[in-house]
This record gives sequence, C-alpha cells and structure tokens, in this order.
Amino acid sequence: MKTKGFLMVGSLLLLFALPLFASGGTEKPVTIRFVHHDAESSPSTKPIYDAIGAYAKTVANKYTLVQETAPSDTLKSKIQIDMSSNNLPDIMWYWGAASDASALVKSGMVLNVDDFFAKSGMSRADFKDLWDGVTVDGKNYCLPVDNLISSWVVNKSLFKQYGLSYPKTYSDVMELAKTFNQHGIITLGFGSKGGNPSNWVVDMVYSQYPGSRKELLDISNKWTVDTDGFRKTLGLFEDLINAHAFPDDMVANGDWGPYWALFTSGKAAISWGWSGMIAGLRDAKFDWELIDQPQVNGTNHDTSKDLYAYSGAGIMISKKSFNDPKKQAAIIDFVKFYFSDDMQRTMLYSNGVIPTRQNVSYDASKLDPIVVQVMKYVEGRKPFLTHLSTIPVSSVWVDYESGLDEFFAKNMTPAQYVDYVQASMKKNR
Amino acid sequence: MNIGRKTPTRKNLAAGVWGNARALAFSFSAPAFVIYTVFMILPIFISLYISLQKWDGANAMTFVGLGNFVGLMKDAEFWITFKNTIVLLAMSVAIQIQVAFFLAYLLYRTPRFMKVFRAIYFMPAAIAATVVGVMFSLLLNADLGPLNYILKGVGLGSIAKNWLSDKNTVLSVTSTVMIWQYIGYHMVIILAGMQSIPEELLEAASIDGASSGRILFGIVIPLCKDMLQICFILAVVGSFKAFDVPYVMTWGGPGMASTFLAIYMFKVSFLKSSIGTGTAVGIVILLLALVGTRVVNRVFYGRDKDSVT
Repeated sequence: MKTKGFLMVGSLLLLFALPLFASGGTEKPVTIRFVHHDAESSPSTKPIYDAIGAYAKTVANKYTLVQETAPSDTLKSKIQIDMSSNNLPDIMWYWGAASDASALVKSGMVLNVDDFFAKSGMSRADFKDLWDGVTVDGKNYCLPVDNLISSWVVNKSLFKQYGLSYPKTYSDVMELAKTFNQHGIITLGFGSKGGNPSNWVVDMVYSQYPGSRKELLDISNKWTVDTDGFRKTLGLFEDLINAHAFPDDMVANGDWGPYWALFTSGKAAISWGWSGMIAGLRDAKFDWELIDQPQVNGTNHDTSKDLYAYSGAGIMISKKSFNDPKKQAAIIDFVKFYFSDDMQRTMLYSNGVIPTRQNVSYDASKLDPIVVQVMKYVEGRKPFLTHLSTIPVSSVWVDYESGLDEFFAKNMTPAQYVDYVQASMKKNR
Repeated sequence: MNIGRKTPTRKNLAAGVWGNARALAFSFSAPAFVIYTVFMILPIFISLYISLQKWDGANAMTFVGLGNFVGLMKDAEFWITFKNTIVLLAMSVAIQIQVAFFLAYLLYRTPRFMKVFRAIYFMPAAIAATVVGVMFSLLLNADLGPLNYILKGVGLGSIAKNWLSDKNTVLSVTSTVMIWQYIGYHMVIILAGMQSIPEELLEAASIDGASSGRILFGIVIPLCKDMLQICFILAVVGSFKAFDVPYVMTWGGPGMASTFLAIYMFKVSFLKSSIGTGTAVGIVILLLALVGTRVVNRVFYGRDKDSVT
C-alpha cells in the first residue's frame, strides 16, 4: 500500500518536473502580450484580429505574440485592473489623452513615443499630425491609430417634405425647430448619456468661438474651463434646448446607438456621425446628405473648413517591457508590423479606420462608397480640439461628462454646469 | 502471533482511528477551505488594506488611515448615492418580496398551469441585466418609446414624462425595473417553501374549519419563514450591489440622480482612477450588507438564532 502511494506521488512529481527538464536545453521565445479591442467576434474587426494572429505565426520562432481583446467599454477597466496588479500588457491599444492616460503617464509605466522612435527607426514624420489628441502634459505616449472622421448629416427627404432649406446658422436651426416640432420631428438628433455624444457637439460649437483652441490647450496649465467662449457655447445650447430643437429625453437618447437611431429611423432631421455610422445609411429609407455644421451667429467662423476627427487612441507601450532587452526587439518588430501599410489598409477596409501613417496608398474600390464620400468631404479641412483631449485628469473628465447629462436634462443652468466642473477641477488639481 | 510487534491497545486503536478520521475530514474540507480563503476572505482583507491607502492604481500607495472614509463622509455625492441605495432597499423590501409572495401564493393555491406561470414569472430573472436595461431604455424613451405613446393615446398624456431624464422620476423608474426583474426569482424561492408544507397539515386545518386567511397566516407564512428570510437577505444584499441595469439605462444619471453605491464605487475606482476611495466605498457596501443581513436575521428570529445565522 505504502509502496503504491510512493509510486503515485513519484510519478506525479516526475510529470510536473518533465517540462522543466524539457525546457532546460533551449531558450524559450519571449512572450509579448498585446491587448486591444479588435475582437474576433465582430465581422468588422475580425480581419484585424486574424491578420495579427497570422503574423504571430510567422514570428513564432522569434517571440510568442498573445493577443487579448476586450470591447472598448470594458477595455478601460481591464487596463486599470492590469495596471493596479502590476500586470500591464507589453503593448496595448488605449486612449492617449490626459483624461484617460494621466495615471499611466504619471506612474512612468508607459513609454514616451520619442524613446520608441529613437530605438525603432520609425519617426514622427511617418505619422500624420494627429498628436494633439494623444498629448499628456505636452508629451506623447501613444502612437495614434484610431483616426476617425465624421460629418454632419441631414435627412434630405424631411427637408423636402416640409419645403425647408438646410440650416446655415444656429438661428436657422431654431427656426427649423418651430416647423419640425409641429410635425413631431426632432430637429437635432442628439442625446447625452455619459456625456456621449453631447461632449462632441458642445466642442464642435465651442471650436467656432475665437481663441477656443488656445483656451483648450491652456486647461492643463490654468485648470479652468470657465471662459467666455465656453459659457456662450452653453448659452447657445440652453437656447436650443428651450426651443425644443433636441429630443426631450436626452438621457434615454444618449450614447452612440440610441442617438444615432433617432436619425436612422427618420425621426430626426439633422445629426452628426462617424464615417462608419454614416456608412450604415446605405440601407436608409430616406435620402440624406452631408452638410457643414451650422455657424454660430456672430463668430464669422467658416465651418466648411472644419474637420471633426478623432485620433485620441492608439498604441501604448509598457516602459518596463521596452526596457527589457529580451523584449525590446520583439516589441519594435510588432509595432512596425502594426503600422505597416498592409495593416493600415486592413483596418481601413474592414473597419473604416483611416490610416494614421503618411502616404499609405489604398484601393478606393475596396471601400464602402459612403466612406469614400466622407473621406472626400473632409479633404483639406483642419481638425478641432476637444475637452476630451485636454482635460488633464480622468476624475474631472468623468464629472464633465456627468454634468453634461444634467445640463442637457435641464437640471443645471450653464453657470451651474461651469461651476460644477470648476469645483471638480479644484478638488482634483 | 505478533512477533516483534506491539499489540495495539484499545486506546491506541481509538486514537489512530480518530486521527485518521480527522485527517480524512481535513483532506476533504481543505480544498473548499483554501478556495474560500483565497478568493473570499483574503480579498476582503486586501480591500481593507487598499481602502486605507491613497492609490490611483498606477503610482505608489500612500497610507492615509481612515482618510478615504472621512472623505466619503464629507462627500455630498456619496450621500446622494447612499440615499438612492436606501430608497431602492426600501422599495425592494416593501414591494418586491410582497408581490413575490402574493404571486407564489396564487400559484400554490391554483396549481393549474402553475409550471407555465412559474416559468413566465421567472423569465425576467433569467434575462441578462444589460438586455433588461436596453429593453426598458427603449420602452421608456419619451421620444420614441411606446409608453408615452400609449399614455397619450388613452388620454393620460398629462402623466407622460421624460422618465429617464427627469431627476424626479429616474430613481423610482430604475429601481422599479430592478425590482420587477427579480420578483420571479423570489417567487420561485417562496413557492418552493410553500410546496414543502405537508399536505396533511393543510387538509387537517381545512377539516377543522380554518379559513383561507387563517391557513395563510397560521400555517403558510410561519412555515415559509426560512424562505422569506432568504428572500429578504437577497433583496437587501442585492440593493447594495445594484449596478448593471441603472448603469445601462442612465449611466447613473442625469448627474447622480440614479447612481447607487455600486455604480459610485465603479466610477470612482475605474473611471476616476481613485482606487483607494473606490475600495473604501466597497468596504462600506460590505458593512452595510452585513448590518442589513443581521437586521433581517434579528427581525426573523430574534436574538437567539441571530448568533447562529
């Protein structure tokens, strides 16, 4: 009995010890963890996931590439948990603006892109000038990937049906609201839940006020959003809310899916969307058209030159991993692959992500014609800056978003909203 | 013959058997003990440790003692979420269990189609909370949803509201949805308790001329006491953990109007990167759940059984 027991224990020990002996002779390839949001389960992101998987096979003799994916909403929590447990991925797709990345940057966990360029042979010149959206304290820790473009759009059929012209100014929008309200049509199809998409619309209007760009860039130094332009912006929105230009139930219609459904269902006359969302209008039962954002009266700002784009997310590299001599070459190799022409094209064709690298050629026939239309529409325009990219800490940004919901739900006046954000600034400085 | 061997005495034999039994008992309970300790007890102590630190999850921790808890006590937003959670708790205890009991008793007394109705009532509890959240967001959407449309259609337009944007209605609306979702869950538990009541007992009571009310209050409720206790505990603990439905429906807003403690904990920890403070909220939730459970036990069984459960 005893002998049998010894034999069993001995066999088990041997079984567990075998891999140790087996790996003793040859050096095991280093493992690189890449966390991103292009999941295998979604048809639009599967080609990206598959391309990375295929590349992982080709480099298997040099390093082991492990991809982990999480939807955008949960990716932030995942990275936070990884960060807290000192288990940050070697490479990750993450938001590079201060509102999201400040803790990562201040802890020294992520690599400054200039340190990457110094060792990799890549350079800033390889990228389009999209650094504003991925800046923390004047430096960049994120190689921009998520280059999205957007446009304002109108339901042409509704305008034709009621004999109305497209708005040139926000005064026109308020006039339109009088007619549309009589027919149960929502003039501006937006909502506000978790500050989406309202924070974008607010900044599109704010960008029309002179000096707004400088004011936004100054937020991290002056810790204030309380500017004349911002107060005027909120005042304009208050007027639009009182004119019933927006849906009544801004929270229920907030966030990306619900607000866009107002437009796609033909209930809203005017809206704004990312190129991928606009591409979905191919099945719309009404005619639609891209327009310029209405102009804020009295600003003399030409909205036909504005580009509402976003490049606030991209590739971040763990500083610890990059400084590990065993991992550095593998990280450089993978990042170069990720920004290769082929991958940039894969992302463009499958998911409408516009290349962030300079001079990436593509075959327009492989693109959705509507995406091509949006790409032509934005040619020659210059991008705008947002509070999302410039508010220096995540705590303030969460309060900024949360307060916007209250403001659009008519629970706060513009002055109360500004005071609320300022109080958060003071608390979190 | 036992040459060279000691003959075991009765005492040695008993000690050996007892020792083996103890070793056996230990070996059987060890895996559960280890798993429970590692995944339940240890995290509580780690959380307690983190709640005493100022920590953003990235930089080094700084010991602040009870600073996070003191900060919470001074934080107006914490008290709003605390009040919201108490409202949900009150609604759960006052409405959810009562309705569940009523439905369970209906099914118990009218067994025809019981299985069908039991499945129907339980169905919401089987639906993912995120789906429930999306479903009710659409239903209650004041611009597109059917609820206001129906109200206006039947001449009740005056009570149509912006259910999720109005800070006066959003708390009761999100709470009602959560209460609705788990009524069937409690009903099934209570029904199981009712079905375990011996048939003879009810027959004897009927033969003795007991009225339906007398049977309900004299037999059914007392014999379902344990099940009701479980339901009350689940309702209390569930209220302190409320997260997914209101998060999907309103993100806890507008502002803080429908933020419950668990949502607040999530926002503070993961969106605001104040993990120390967020963990302190978690500890408060844990303490409230413990106190709530103890109160329920005390209400049901008084001081004596309280120490057992």
